Amino acid sequence: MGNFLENNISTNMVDKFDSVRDFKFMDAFSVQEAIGLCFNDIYIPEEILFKILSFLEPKLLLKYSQVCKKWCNVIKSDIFWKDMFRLNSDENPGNFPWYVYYCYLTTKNFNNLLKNGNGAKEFKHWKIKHNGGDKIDIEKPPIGSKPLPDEPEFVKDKSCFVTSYQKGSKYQEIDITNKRLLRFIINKFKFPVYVSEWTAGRFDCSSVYYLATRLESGEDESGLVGHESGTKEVRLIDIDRVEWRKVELIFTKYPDNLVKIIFQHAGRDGQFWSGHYGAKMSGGVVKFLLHPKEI
Amino acid sequence: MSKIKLQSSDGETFEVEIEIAKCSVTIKTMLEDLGMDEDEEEVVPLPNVNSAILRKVIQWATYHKDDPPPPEDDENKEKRTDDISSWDADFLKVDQGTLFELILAANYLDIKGLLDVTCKTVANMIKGKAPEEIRKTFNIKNDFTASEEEQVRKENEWCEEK
Repeated sequence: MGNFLENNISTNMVDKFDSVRDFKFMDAFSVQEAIGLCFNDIYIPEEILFKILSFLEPKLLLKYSQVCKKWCNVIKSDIFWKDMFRLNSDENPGNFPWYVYYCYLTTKNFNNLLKNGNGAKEFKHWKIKHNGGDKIDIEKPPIGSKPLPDEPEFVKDKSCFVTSYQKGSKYQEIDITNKRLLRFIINKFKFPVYVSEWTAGRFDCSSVYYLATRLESGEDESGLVGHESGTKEVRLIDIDRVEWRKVELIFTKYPDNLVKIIFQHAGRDGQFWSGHYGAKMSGGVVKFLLHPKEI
Repeated sequence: MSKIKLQSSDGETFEVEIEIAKCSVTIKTMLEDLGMDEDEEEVVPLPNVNSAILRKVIQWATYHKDDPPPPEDDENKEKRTDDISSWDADFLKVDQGTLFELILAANYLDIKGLLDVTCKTVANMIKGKAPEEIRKTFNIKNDFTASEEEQVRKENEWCEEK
């Protein structure tokens, strides 16, 4: 498994890193208190301006920072966005600068970054690496195993990928090169990268499943490309192989300038049987966590 | 139904059912803390609210007296601004001065429902407007220098995902 991913390293990743590396957020403006709090000459306390602005769509708020210095200071304050976060999410907000909450609330960067993890859209977004035996297939619903568990990953789609009698593997590249703010944030906070997927085997055949993920950095000043990777193998041999089990990887340390996350999985059957008796997989997740998580 | 008297900053007195007056947390606390007897002819002074605004506040509170109590702030995830009832929308068809006075009164009297709906009304006035239009609407001075304004604009642009 270890070398599964080696060929995927892209050499073409020299990018506008400087814009992320050198970027600095402005400091708050010093303001004349009344400007921006006087609405047609009626003075409104700052907490009321907070409240008014909190009713606006998070995505549009930055635009309003251009009204005046006071509004800019309020809109680009950690406390304002922490409140916005509390209003819009059930997660623990922790203590981060405003732009972390802004990024969390206005982009999908903190959602699951893996697409089509259940094969609902066939093989869209996936690149096939090995397609041995009778090739990777999609089962809707899974055959010969327990039904997919009652988990958020399967609320929408009840399908899975299934492998055959020789190695079937595919990968998905999550490229964040163009997501400046996200890259700035993860450079600074090194939020853990959480990876998971569910796997199961058939009742009548043993099988094996692999999960591998590789985090790739762009070139640094010395021209080196850093990376961090992890793998997990699950032998689906015992009788409980028909049960869906969750396989997890978590990366808390990785080099600066992360630009790519490569998620790869593989499977095959243990008997060399024609058809699709290999490991099944579904519900893949790749996401940045605001807070560390025990697994 | 027992009543109490509220006195506005300009000396006018309003007789209000005690249950209606108690939608103001400030008045409710005042009555409890001061142990004011409901039967006595006592007057609650409200030095921060003038008679025109107090009349509006009482009108609003009377209409909403049977509303369920508003949820605690922490549980209140209500952030939509399109849920203003038509009665409230009509009630708030007032000039900006009155609207902001109502906000200040709702804040002082601690009437969450009225504060929410008035703030939502202002949020709706901001929505969809360019910064320059917002300044014009509320008569807010642009205190940025040209280069500061450009800096803010650039930072915002940098944060936006393409």
